Amino acid sequence: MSARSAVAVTGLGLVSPLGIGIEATWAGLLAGVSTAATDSLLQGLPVDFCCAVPGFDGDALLGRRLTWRLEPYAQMALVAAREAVADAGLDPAHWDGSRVAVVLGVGGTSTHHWDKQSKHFAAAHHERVSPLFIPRCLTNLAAGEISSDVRAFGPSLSVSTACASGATAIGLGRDLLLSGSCDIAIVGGAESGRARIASIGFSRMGALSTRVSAPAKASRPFDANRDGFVLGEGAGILVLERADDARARSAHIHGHVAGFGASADAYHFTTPDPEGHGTELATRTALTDAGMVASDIGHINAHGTATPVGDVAEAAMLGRVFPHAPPVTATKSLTGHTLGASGALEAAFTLLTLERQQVPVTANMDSLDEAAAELDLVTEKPRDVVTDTALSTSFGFGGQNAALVLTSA
Amino acid sequence: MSGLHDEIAQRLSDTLGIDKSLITPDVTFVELKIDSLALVEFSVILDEEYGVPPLHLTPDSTIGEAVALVAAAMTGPAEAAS
Repeated sequence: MSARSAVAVTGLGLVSPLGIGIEATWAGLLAGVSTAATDSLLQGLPVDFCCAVPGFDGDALLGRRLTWRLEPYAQMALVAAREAVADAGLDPAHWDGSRVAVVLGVGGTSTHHWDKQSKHFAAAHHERVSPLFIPRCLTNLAAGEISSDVRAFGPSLSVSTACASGATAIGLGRDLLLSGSCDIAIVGGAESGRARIASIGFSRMGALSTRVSAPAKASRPFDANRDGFVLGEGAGILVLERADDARARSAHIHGHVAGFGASADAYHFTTPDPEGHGTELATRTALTDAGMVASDIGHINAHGTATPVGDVAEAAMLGRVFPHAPPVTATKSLTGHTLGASGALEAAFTLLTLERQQVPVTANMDSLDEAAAELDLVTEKPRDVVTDTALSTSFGFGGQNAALVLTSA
Repeated sequence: MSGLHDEIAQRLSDTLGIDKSLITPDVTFVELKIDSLALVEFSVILDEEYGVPPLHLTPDSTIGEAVALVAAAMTGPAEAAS
């Protein structure tokens, strides 16, 4: 099978627990310190810490006229989308909006407003239930808001593959470009797990770290003493264009999406296949799609959420597919798990790594799990690398997997 | 303009981001670009803040009419109790 054409990434917009904007994000990646902290919003809950976006003030950034109706994740998506479009040097006032698509990865319904609304339900105060209850729940609303905000009249949709959503959106946006359905694709992911109901829900699944006395030590991918992931929040948006189009307008190119692989474990509704057949299929499909072989990969940004089972399965798969052991990092040790945003944020982190030739650390690595012994994890300080090709993996509940091969400009 | 007008104008500004200088007794909600859904949201907020029942407001209602309804709703139960 011949490789598909790579598409250019001409814009990045980043809102994450590391900060707002490309440079704040990169500084946070290099600092290599976990952002997890006790959060007053989660006071009294079994897990009362998370990774919040520092100082995010949607009203100040977007104006109350817009934010009154938007959940936090949607506000973050809009901030990131505006940054990405500006970073791409594109002006929505002058583009042909009918050729601009939006594909946003969103893992689940935003639950920030549920506490309040559920009290009204329980008290039968139906007239007090907000008319925004449904719009705030809809997972496609943020994609629609981005389309409205930047006057993009082309295909607009959200995709959901749980924690792989952001990567899936990048892959499908790439496909819309290559099929000719659009000329510009605004893609990425957004989600906020910084909500009381999200914290309770995920902790009831046994998915979250319970290290409440030392939150900054809680997110520890591939460490022997990991005990689950830490909820995070954010939005990562990429502007994609066909490489010829990007070159023709002399756009700055951060890198390319060279290959995309999607697969299903078809194994269990939440537990990953311990053999990693599905994640391996996504990874090998992405390589084939890019016209590459495993040894071409010079760096891997792993899914690495720090769940006991998930990390073992991923480590075994990466060790099997990449015996040459390229340097690996798991940036969820820094950001926590930003759910539907994570695949897009990590693709952006990987592109920045390729642009700047430095791999950020996996924080909190005190004792490498023996199951991950074959991985060359970057720890303690960022590592200089010389490579033009990297892989980013993202795996979701439901056994839905996505892998992206990313290359330098 | 009454103190209640100023208070409600402030809430409109805080909750929906409307420029306070535009909120006069004669202006209608639709003129402030407040659509029917936003109006229901604002009515819910008034209910929560002042304990007034859902108001029979339309996008063509004026701010002055809204203030009068809130004032009546706030004094009504007290008068009934006295």
